[in-house]
Amino acid sequence: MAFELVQKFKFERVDYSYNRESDVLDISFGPPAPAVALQVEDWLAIRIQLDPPNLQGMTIVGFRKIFEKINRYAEKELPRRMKRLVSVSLEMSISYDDQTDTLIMRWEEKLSGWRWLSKGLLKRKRQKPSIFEALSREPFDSLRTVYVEKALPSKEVVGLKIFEFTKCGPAAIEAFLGAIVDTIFDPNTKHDENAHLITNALIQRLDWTRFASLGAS
Amino acid sequence: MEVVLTDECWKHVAAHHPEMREFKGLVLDTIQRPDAIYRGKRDPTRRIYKKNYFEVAGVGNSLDLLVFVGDADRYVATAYFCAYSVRMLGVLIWPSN
Repeated sequence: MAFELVQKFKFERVDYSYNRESDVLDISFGPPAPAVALQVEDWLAIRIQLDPPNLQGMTIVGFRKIFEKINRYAEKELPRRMKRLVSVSLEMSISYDDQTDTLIMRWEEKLSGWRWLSKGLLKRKRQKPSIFEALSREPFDSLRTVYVEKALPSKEVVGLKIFEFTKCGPAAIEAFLGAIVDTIFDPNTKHDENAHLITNALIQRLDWTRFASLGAS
Repeated sequence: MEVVLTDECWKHVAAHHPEMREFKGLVLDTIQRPDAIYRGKRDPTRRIYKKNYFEVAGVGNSLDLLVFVGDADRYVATAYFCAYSVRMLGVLIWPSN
């Protein structure tokens, strides 16, 4: 069995509410709707809408306390970051091949509005060459089956490939998310350079809000 | 430990997590009779009360209700149903090993 799923995340409406007293940030893609949480970390929940199944939003408990360690203007910059999120759509494709038991995830940022007009129209779309690098070379590491796809020559991270997916996939995804979180909050944790590279790409290019939306995919 | 759930907090929970509107009683039950209490890993001033519910009408089956409480003021910060936790919720402080 082989399949390919392509999902577009277009955040046309982003509502958010930050409660300063309880230090809880609720972000909603569209109006708040019944959902259940996928708890990524003890402070970060991705909300999955029940009917129809959809990415509904996210909840960050301890937003100021946690994010001020990275950026002391996190709370002040919140309105600008939310506004920026609306101008972006993300296309994510997930394909699985049972012959090789391999899962491939690729994502591409698509501009919308005037940003698309100014940049998208001027560039001709073509397939970029890429290379794959192992996320870990440790033989017993959960990340050993995860490979990072990097575009050439820029070496920006454009996707992931997970081998032995039926055997190691869930552990690999957990380890992958964990490596990103550890890279942000425990810089002394030993991780491969690629874990830092992915984290930097997500923070700098995709923003922390969009990093969470990727995690939910 | 005494925990405070204010009307204002409940309004905030119900507004942003509409599936919770009918389940204030379960939130109180989770605080009073939790399965486990954790201390936040990234934010140690936060306690997380967890209780599993086999069936939650209109929401789903086998869901963990998580209630986040400030360690200092003991006020409920938020509460919602969780279908799956990728990692441990934090440090288990109750029941103790």
